[in-house]
Amino acid sequence: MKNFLIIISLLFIGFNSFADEVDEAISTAINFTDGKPSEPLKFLEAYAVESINNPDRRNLIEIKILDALPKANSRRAEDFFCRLLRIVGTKKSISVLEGMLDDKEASHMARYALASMNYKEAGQALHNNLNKVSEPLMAGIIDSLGDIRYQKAIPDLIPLLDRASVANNVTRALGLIGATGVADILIPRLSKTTGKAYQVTAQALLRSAENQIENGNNKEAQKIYKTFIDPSKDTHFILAGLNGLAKINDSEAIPLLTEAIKSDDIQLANGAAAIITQLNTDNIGEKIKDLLEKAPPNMQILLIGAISDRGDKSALPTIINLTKSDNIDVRLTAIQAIGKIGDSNSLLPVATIAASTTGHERNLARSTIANIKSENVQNTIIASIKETSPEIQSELVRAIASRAEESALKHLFIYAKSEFPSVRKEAIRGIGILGTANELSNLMNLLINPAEDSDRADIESAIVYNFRRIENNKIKFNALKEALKSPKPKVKISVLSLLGKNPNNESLPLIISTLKSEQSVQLAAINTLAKWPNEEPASDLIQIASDKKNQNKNSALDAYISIASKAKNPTEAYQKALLLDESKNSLKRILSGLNQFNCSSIIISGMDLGAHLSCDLIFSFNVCFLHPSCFLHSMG
Amino acid sequence: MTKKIPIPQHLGMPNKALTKSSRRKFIKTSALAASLPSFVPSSAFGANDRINFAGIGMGGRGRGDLNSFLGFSEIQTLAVCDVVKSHADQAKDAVDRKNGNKDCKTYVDYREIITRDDIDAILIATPDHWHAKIAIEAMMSGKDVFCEKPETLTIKEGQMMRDTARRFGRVFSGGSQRVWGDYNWFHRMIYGGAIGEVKEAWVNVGGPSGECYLPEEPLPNGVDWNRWLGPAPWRPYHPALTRGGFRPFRDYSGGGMTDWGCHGFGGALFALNLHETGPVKITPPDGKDIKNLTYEFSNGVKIYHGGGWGGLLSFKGTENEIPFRNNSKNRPNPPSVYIPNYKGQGGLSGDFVHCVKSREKPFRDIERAHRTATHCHLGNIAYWLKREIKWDPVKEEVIGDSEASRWIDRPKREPFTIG
Repeated sequence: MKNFLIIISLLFIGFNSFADEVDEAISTAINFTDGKPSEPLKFLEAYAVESINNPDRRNLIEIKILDALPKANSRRAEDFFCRLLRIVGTKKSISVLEGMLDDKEASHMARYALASMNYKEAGQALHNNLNKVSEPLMAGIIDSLGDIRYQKAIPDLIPLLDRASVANNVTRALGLIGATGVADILIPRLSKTTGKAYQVTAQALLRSAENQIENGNNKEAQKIYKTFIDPSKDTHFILAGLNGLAKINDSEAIPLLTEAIKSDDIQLANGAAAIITQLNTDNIGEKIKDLLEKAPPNMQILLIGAISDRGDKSALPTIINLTKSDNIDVRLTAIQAIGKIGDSNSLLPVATIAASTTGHERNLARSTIANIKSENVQNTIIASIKETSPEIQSELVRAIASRAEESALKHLFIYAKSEFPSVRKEAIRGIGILGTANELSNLMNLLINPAEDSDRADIESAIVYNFRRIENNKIKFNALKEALKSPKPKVKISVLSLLGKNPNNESLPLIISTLKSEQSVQLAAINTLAKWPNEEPASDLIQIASDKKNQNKNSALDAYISIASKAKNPTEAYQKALLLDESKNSLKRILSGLNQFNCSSIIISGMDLGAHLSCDLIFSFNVCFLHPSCFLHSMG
Repeated sequence: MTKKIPIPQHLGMPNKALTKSSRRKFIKTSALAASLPSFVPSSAFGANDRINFAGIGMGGRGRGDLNSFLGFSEIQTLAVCDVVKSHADQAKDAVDRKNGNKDCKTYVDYREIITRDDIDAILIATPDHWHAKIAIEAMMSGKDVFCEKPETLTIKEGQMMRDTARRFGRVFSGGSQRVWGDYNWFHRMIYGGAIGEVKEAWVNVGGPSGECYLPEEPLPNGVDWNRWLGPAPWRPYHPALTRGGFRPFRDYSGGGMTDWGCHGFGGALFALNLHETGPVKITPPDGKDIKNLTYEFSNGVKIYHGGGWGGLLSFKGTENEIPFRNNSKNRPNPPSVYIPNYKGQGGLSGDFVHCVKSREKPFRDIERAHRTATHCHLGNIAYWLKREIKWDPVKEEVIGDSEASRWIDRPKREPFTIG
C-alpha cells in the first residue's frame, strides 16, 4: 500500500511537471512569429500526438489550446493552435473554430481543423456560416462542405449557383455530395456555361453520376452520361460520356463506341478503343466483328490490341484471319494477340506463319506458339502434325520444345527419327534444351543410331548442353565410355569429340586407347588430343608422328606441336618436333612456337631449310639479333 | 494448367552468381514469366502528329524535364509558366533556342495555359502542393499531363487526380524515371525468380517532413508569393521555399519520404508487383523492437523504410538477396524475362509522348503514381502520429482510426479549390 501511494505520488508529480511544461510552451506559442525558437511548438505537437490515445491528456491539451487560441498574438500563432486542434480536437473545439470562420486571416485554418474532423457537428458549423461570411471565405466553406459531402447543405447551396463568384465552388460541391436530383439542377447549366464553368459543371455531373451508380441509381447516371455524347462537344467530354455509359449499359455503348472508333478524330477513336478494353461484358469481339474486319488498318490495330488485352476469345477467328492482312503492322498485332487469347486451334495458322515468313514476323509467330495458354496444345500438335508440310512440322516440333509440357521429351525423341531432316534438327535441339540426366541414355542411343549420320553434329550439340546440366562427371564419363564400345567408327569419332570437350585424367586413357583403332578413329583421337590442356598425350602423339607408314603422322605431329607449348620444357618439345618435321610442312608453327619461349635454344645449324621458309627465319633471326646470346648460340 | 518441364536456361552457361537451387527456380520462373511484348505500331496513331506542349513550374527540375521533352520531334512547346519570372524566362530561352524563334509565351498564372485550346499536353514541375490543382484542371480542360513526382501532397488528391484522368480519358504520367530506368535490374531479377519468392524489401530514403518555421524575409520583386503558396496555408515569405528548399516542410511536401520515396518505394512496389495496391498495416519504429517503419501487405510481404544493405533498395528472397552483399558492384546479368515497361522511344518522356498519341496508359500511369505516393504518405502519417495505421487498399481508407483519417487530405486555402 505504501509503495502504491509512492508510485501514485510520483505519477502525479510527473503529470504536473508535464502540465507545467505544456503551460510554458503554450505561453511561448501564443507570441510565436516565424524565426523565433520553434522548440516549444515542436514540443506541443509531440505532446498532442502522444495524447491521442490518452483521454485525460487529450482533454488537458485541448482545453489549454482552446484557452490559448483567443489570446494568440499573431496570425501564425493562431494557425499553430488550429493545427494542434486538427490533431487532437474533439467536439469541444467546434464552437471555438466556428467562431473563426468569418475572420479573413483565420478562416482557412479554422476550416483546416474543422473539415478534417469526422463529426457531423463540424459540418453543421460550416453550414451555419455559409451565408454569414464574406464571399472569398464563403468559397472555402462551400469547398469544405463539398469535401465532407454534407448533404444537409444542398438546399442552401443551390441558390448560390446564381452568384458568379462562388458558382463554380457550389457546382463542385453539389457534384461531390452527389445526391439524387443534382443532375436536374446541373444539366441545364451545361448549355448556359462555357470554359472553366462548363468544365466544372461537367466534372460535377460526372462525379454525381458515379455516386448514383454506387447507390444503384443507374438511370440517373445514364441520363448524365448521355448528355455528353454529343459531337458538338470536346473530345474528352464525349469520351467521358462513352466511358460512363459503357460502365452501365454496354449494349447501348458498343454501337456508339464503334462509331467513335471510325472517327477522324484520332484521340476520340483511340480513346474509344481504350474504353472497349474496359467494357464489363463478354464477347465484345463477336459484337464488333464487322468493325474489326472492315476498319482501316490503324483502327484494326487498336481494336485487336484492345480485345486481346481483355482476353476476349470471341474475336479469335477474325484475328486469325487478320494475320493474312496486307498490312504488316496489322499482321504483327494479330499474331501478338493470338499469343494472349489463342487456343489450340490457333496453332496451325501461327505455325504456318512461322514456317513461311522471316525476321520479326517469324520470331513473333514462334513466341506466340510458345505462349498460347490453353490445355491440350501439345496433344493438338501431335494429332495434326502428320498432315502438315515438313516446314510446318519443324515449327510444331519447335513449339513442343518451347512449350516444355511434361511429356514433350517423349515426343521429341520420336520426332528425332522423323523422315525430314529439318524436323529431326528441331527435335534434337529441343532435347538438348529440355533434357536432363534422365534423358542421357536415350540421347546416347540416338548418337549410336541416328536417323542419318548427318544428324550427329546436332546430337553432339544436344549432348554438350545436356552435360551442362549434369553435375556428376562420372555419369557423363560412363555414358561416353559405354558409347565408345560401339563398333561404328562414326560413333567413336563423335564420342572422341565429346570426350575432348570435357578433358580430364579419366578420359585420357580412353582416348589414347583409340589411337590404335582404324585410321578415321585414330585421326579423331589425334584431333581430340591436339586440344588437350596438358602434355600428357605427347609421347603417344610423338609415337604416331614417328611412324613413317602411318597416314596420320602429319596430323599427329601437328597435334604434338599444338600441345608442345604446355610441356615442362617447351623448347625441347619443339626441338623434337623440328627433328620429326621432315617435310618442313610444320616448320612455320614450330618456329613460331619457339619464339614464344627462350630462343637461345633454337637449333637451326646443320639444317637444310627450304627457301619458302625464309620469311619465318628472317623473323626468327630478327628476334635473335635482339638477343645476341641467342643469336651466337644458334649460329654456333 | 498443363504441368511444365522446368526449362533450363536457353543454351547458355549458368549464371555463376546464383546458387544451384535459386538457379533452378530462376530458370523455371523466367521461362514461365516470359510473355509477348506489347506494342502499338506508330501507324496506329499518325506518327507525324504534333503535340502542342507547355511547361508549368520552370525551376531547375522543371527546366530539366522540359529539356528532355524538347528533344522529341513531335513536341512543339508553345508556352512556359512560373510564379518566379526569372524561371519562366530561362525556360523560354531554352524553348526559343530549340525552335529558332521568339514565339514561346511566358506566364505567371498557369490558368493562362490551361485555357489555351491549342495546347494538348502539359508538364507540371511546380512544388508538390500545386500538382493536384493544376493537373486536375488541365485534365478537365482536355489536356494530358506529365507530372513530376511526388505527384500528390495528400492521398485524397491522388484519388481525385486518378478519377479525373479516368473520367475524361486523359493520359497522365508520373515523373519517376528511376522506377524503371534505374531499378529495372531488380525487377528483372525478381520477376525472373533469381532470388526466389521475395518477402522483405528495404528502401533507404529520407524521412518525413515537418512544420515550417523559417523566419519571414522581405518579398523580392518578381515573386508572386500568394500564388506560390496557392492551396497551402498562409505563411510569410522565405526565399528558400521558392528556390527548391520547400521539401522539408509538410505544407508543401512529404519530405524525403515522398521525394526520393516515390523513386525508391516506387521501385520496390513495382519489383514486388504491389504497385497498384497498398499496404494493410503501417507500423512506425518504436525505439525498441521495431527499428524501421514497416509496411505489411496482405500477401505477407514487408517493406521497411531504411535499413537494408545495398544503397537505396535491398530485397531478400527465399533463395538469395539482392544486391549480393559480398559483391554488390558486380551485378550478374538478370534472367531473360519480359516486363512491360516504357512504350515508344526515349525513356519516361518518350513513353508519355507515345501514349499521348496512342491513348495507352503510360508506365507511370496515374494509378501507379498515386498508389506509390499513397504508400509514402501513409508512412508519413504513421511517423507523424507515432502510431500503427491500418489501411484498406481497396477502399483506400484508414481503418478504425478517425484521427489518422484526418490526414488523408487537408482543406485548401480559398480561393485555391482543387478539382
